Amino acid sequence: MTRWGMVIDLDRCTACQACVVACQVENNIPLADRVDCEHGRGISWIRLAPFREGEHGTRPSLRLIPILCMHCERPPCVKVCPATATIIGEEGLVGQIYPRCIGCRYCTTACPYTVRRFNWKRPEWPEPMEQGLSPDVSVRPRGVVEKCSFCHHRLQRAKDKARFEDRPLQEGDYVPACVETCPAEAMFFGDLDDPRSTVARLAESPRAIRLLEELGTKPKVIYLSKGESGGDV
Amino acid sequence: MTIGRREFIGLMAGAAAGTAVGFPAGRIFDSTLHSGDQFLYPPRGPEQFVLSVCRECSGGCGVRARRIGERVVKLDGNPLHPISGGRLCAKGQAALQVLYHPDRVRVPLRRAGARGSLASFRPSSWDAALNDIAARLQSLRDEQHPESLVLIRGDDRTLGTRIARRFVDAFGSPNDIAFNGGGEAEALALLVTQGVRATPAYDLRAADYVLSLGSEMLETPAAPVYTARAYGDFRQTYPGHRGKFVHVDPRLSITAASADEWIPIRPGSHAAFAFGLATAIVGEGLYDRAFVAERTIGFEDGADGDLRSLIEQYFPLEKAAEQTGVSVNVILRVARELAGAHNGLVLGPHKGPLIGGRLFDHLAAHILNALVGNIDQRGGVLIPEESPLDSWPAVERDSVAASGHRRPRLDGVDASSTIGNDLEQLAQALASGQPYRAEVLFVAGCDPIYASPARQRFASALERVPLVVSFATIPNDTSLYADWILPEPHYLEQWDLHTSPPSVAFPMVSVASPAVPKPLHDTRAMGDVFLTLARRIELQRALPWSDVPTLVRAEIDRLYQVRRGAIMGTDFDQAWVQMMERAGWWSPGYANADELWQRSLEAGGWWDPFYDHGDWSRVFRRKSGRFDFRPDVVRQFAAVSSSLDSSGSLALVLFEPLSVAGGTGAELPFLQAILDPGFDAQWETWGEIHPDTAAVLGIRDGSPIRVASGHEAIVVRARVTERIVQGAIAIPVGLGRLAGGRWAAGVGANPLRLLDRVREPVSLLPDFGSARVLVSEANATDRRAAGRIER
Repeated sequence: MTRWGMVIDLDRCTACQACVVACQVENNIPLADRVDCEHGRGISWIRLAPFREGEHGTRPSLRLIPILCMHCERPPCVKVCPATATIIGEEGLVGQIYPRCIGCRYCTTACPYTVRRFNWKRPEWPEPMEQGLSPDVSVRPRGVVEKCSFCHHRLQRAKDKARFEDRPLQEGDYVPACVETCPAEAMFFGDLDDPRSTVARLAESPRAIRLLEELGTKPKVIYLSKGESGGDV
Repeated sequence: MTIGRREFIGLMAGAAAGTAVGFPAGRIFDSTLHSGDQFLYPPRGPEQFVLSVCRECSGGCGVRARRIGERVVKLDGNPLHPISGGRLCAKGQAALQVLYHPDRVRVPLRRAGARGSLASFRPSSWDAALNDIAARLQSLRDEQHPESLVLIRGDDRTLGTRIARRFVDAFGSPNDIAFNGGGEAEALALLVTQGVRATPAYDLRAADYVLSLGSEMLETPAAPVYTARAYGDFRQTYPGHRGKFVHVDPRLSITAASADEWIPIRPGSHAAFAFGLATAIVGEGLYDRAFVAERTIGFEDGADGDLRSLIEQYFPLEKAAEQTGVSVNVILRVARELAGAHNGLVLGPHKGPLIGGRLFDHLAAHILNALVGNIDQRGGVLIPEESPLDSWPAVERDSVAASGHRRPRLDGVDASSTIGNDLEQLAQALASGQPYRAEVLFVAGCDPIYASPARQRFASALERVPLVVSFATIPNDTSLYADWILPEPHYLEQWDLHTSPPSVAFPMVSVASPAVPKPLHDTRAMGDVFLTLARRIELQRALPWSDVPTLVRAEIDRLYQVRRGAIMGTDFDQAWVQMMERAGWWSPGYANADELWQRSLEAGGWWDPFYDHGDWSRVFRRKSGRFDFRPDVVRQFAAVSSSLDSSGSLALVLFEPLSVAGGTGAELPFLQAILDPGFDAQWETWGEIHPDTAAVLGIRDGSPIRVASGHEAIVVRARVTERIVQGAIAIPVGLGRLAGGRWAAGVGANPLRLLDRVREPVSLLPDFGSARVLVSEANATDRRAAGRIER
């Protein structure tokens, strides 16, 4: 059985946010102007979340952690969706079916990682910006929720390619846009159920941690903490 | 296998692209994109991949553009390219939106009103523009005043820039002026100590201890993706060998957030900290004795002063502790860590393309590298080798040109100057018409009105120049003061050749081919414009090429002649080439120039990964043939460094967020939204103040504050945070643009406006780090004034 998952090495990560923009370009994410951003209505499927440490008077530190949909094995968002617009697929990808979404936003509330975003307005691209849109990803209308799909369209493409070349899918055939662009090579992607894959090996590392594991969501995005082995986050 | 329609078209498309990578080349896209009631027309046609080179910064990343039909829909790194290795940064990813930006210059624009506003420009044509410019240039030559032509250019190595420089040379003007703000101090430190004119390369990948003296190496180094890839390996490649990274700076930047330790110091005390370390290292005898004895001079053998006695005299540990605000114990500990590391590497305070730091700070950092013997070593400071195509045969100047070259440069810089350009002096010369008037001025690849500390005077000086021509893809601040704005194609629309970017040690030539079948707008590459002008005023002898694509091909012929290096390839290819070259072999995998050309198009270009460590005559080019600690220069700096400007309440600490570094990036909404993830700062300029300092000044977090220097004031939002030390305010540079399209113009504030006539003593470089400012809660008048600027 295939179980797609991601490993992010926080020791390599430089918080450069290339993943954020790569995702936005790949997935036709609507432009948000200054006013949208002031209202907190800008959309990004992956973002850098700051964790500040240090009380006043001690030396502060800042941790920046890329947060995206964890594609939980027990996703709270799926349970609450009244329209079956959010589903978990056979290979463990949690998908969003836009035409079914009624915009109730139960899922955005249920998600403990707060990675789901609502389309507050009709997306618009001033001419000729629409020419840069990717034909792989549908454009979302106003009033639906969207989130990271692990670049599901790339999986379709990788499967097509493997079929075309008459061979099984191999490691590296399918990686999301964020993983492909990561300059520090801090992100890894693959099949967690394949013991020979890089992600399965890294997931066993003493540095491996999962966010909000105690909630029982079983996230498939795994972080490697900073340090030599088993250090702090 | 039978070949169906789909496969057939796929194969054809692959063949047509010439650079097709991946499968099934030419999958046909014919779906529709729709969102509810809105129909958008997606690209239709086969898929292909085209190789180019990113120009969002100086980094020179190889790009692989995914094109469907006639449109480019995604950019990624070219996996074979030695700089990008298949990766791109946030700016590189967003570059597609520059190509399709709604506010691009679409036709040549001619000014028909007052300078300083885009509304004054009227659409014109290339014929009109070229006729006007060529006529003025011809009359300058006829009147025997070729020196009155001025070129202010970016410090890049694209063909366009190289053609423009050659044009100015052949025309007869000494005024080829690079606007390179940032890199200069770092390169000067190398020139002063080693006699080499180059930006140093740091072998981060093989270092095991990195001490960053305020270097924002993870945000805005000269080549961000290359550095980030090396950093990842520095941290986690070899189990049990994790490199340690310490960042010393007044501000907890994004780079500092990644460090194992952030050591806050007082603003402007990087050199004091570095010399404190030097004192400790020398005092405890931890320096690399063999290297210092064999490869350096000026350590303890100077006739009139040497480094050892200087640091004892000027930089005792207690004094360093007092100046930096760091305890003696911490300085000692860092000194021992650095000297005890196998490859300890020190980086000076390079803050970004515009804010390059001071010579004294970079010199101090470089002296530390020499003390620990980490020059030209694996994991140390490397000296880049010139690319074989970097220079052309010298121009044969005619009599008019020769007379022009006998005049001084307008900015007063000559061969004996330490600095490469002096914009302040240039502004004065333009305004006064002394020593002679400037009649025609080209600005390309830089934005001096936004980015120079002499901005106000520069803007008024430009009004005295009869013809100012700006090359721009999206109008920048300087374009608003021009007479002509000539539309530059986006890099995805043109042919180009790029040699190694600064701070990369190996020679390299990347070929960029156009990713879109035809330019979106009525643009012409800058190189083509200068080649056309050269034909009009009969300078073809220096510039004989018909157009840029012809030149690109001719350069590859020249590259074949150097008979070394290889086509860009995988890690394995690299190791193979290095092994062969070490043994004295050259087996390039191409038999003639045509094959080199074809394979360069397929792989992205050519390079020579072999680095010859320990070639001391190449690395130390001063007369002594050794690394020179330059006690004479250190003494000059040490004597003046205590006289800091102390008027004003807070030290002004400037930095450049990656997404808007170099004063570009604010044009794009995606980049405006990621200015600083630590604060979730978006679409505005902010000022970071320590809670203690804010309490004294009565400033609340989030409130608008007025930041005033001697001659100007800006309004920014206060961020009360411990990310900055007490007694300082940190403000990002990159917003507050006058131009740059709908998303950039008038958003945020430009803190460079606060600076005026700031120069580092001794080096005379512009000094962005010594200003002090008065900060207060903004009142209603300030806010209205700021609002007027913004809207």
